Amino acid sequence: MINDNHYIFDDLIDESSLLIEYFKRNGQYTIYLPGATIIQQDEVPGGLFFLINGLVEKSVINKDGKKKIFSLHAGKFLAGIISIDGAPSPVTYQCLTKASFYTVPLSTLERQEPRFLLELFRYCIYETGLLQNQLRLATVADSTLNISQIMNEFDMVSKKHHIDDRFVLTHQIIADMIGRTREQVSNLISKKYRLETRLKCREYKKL
Amino acid sequence: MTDSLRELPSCYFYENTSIEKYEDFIDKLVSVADIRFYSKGDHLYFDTVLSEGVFLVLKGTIEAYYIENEKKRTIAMMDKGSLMGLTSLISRTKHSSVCCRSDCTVAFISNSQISNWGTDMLIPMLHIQAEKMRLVSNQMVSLAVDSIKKRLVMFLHEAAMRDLCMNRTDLPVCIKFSKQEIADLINTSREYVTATLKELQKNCRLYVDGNNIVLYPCDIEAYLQRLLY
Repeated sequence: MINDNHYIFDDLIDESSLLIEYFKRNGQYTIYLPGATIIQQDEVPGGLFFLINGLVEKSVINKDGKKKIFSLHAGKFLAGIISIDGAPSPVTYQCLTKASFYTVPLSTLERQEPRFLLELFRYCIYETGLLQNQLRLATVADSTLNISQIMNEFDMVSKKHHIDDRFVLTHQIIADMIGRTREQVSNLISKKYRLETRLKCREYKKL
Repeated sequence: MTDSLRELPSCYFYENTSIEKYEDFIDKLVSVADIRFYSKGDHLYFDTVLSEGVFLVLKGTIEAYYIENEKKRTIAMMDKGSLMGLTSLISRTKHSSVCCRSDCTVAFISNSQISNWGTDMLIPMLHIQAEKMRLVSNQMVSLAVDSIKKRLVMFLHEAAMRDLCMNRTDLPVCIKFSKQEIADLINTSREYVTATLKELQKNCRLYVDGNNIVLYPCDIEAYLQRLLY
């Protein structure tokens, strides 16, 4: 089983130097500002977007016009692979902080060397595995554990990638990611803090 | 079938819905693959074992599941055109064990064969995997956005559409799923599935006898339409 992080996907491409090299050699370097949309839901993306640094959210707008965020991406990550066959993207990718990408048009894929395509295929499998993990967590795991996991992952990723302090992980974002309401998340977090404070008090009394 | 229903994303069956699009790829793959036959109940692989290749379902239905707290949880159904066991290509153990729900015919390709493939084979593989990624994504979206009742009706619709008689939605279809399996797939409790099926019986022609659910796809379609709009 793939046991890597589940909600904030970072540095997925680290293992494959071939992919990194390819994007650096053939990609067009672009910097996007916070709020910029890289790939729009229901539209065919123009290419593959290789994230170098910054924080990107993956979300869906449902029929009521409400946005649901499914995951956050930082570090080396490839957006647009879900539509590599030219199908419209089921999700929107939007920059939460300033982010830089190498972009490669999809039309150039068929001219690539098989060893690069095999690496791309391996990456696809890896990301599918992470998505399946996320789905499994959403369906079986305890929400409090999921919340702790997201908060820990976020702390770790923010430090590692020097994420702008102005970006705050809100209860609404956590709620979207684990398929709960904002109120449920707020309740669970306050319960968690109450419990932690009580435990700390108990330890202090012992001392 | 109405256009709006045709556009519904499938969520619960990992099926390569546009298998005709990949006819050339499947022909080439089958010509070099090892064709294997499995009986109902046989396992293709277990989640703890690293397999040596990839499986393509040619015939039959296959179920993916895992065991948690000594309980079996069904996570997906797969039928013809589905590729399985791909995690072996990245040297990882599987997410789930895979077992045949009916007699199945499967093509097996070893990892070393795949490593030697050219662009003509790798591009369709990438496209098929992208479809699978979209299915998992749709499942996530459905879980976050749709009500449990809607997910149940969508599941019944998807399962029924796979088993149509003479491609007609006005003829009854019998699908075989336990209430626990349905509950696992749509992420709810067995009790809720039982209660919702009873409620559905008031609105649609639907009969439940143990694991057999007999329903009229056209009725389910119409009900789903009402839920959607």
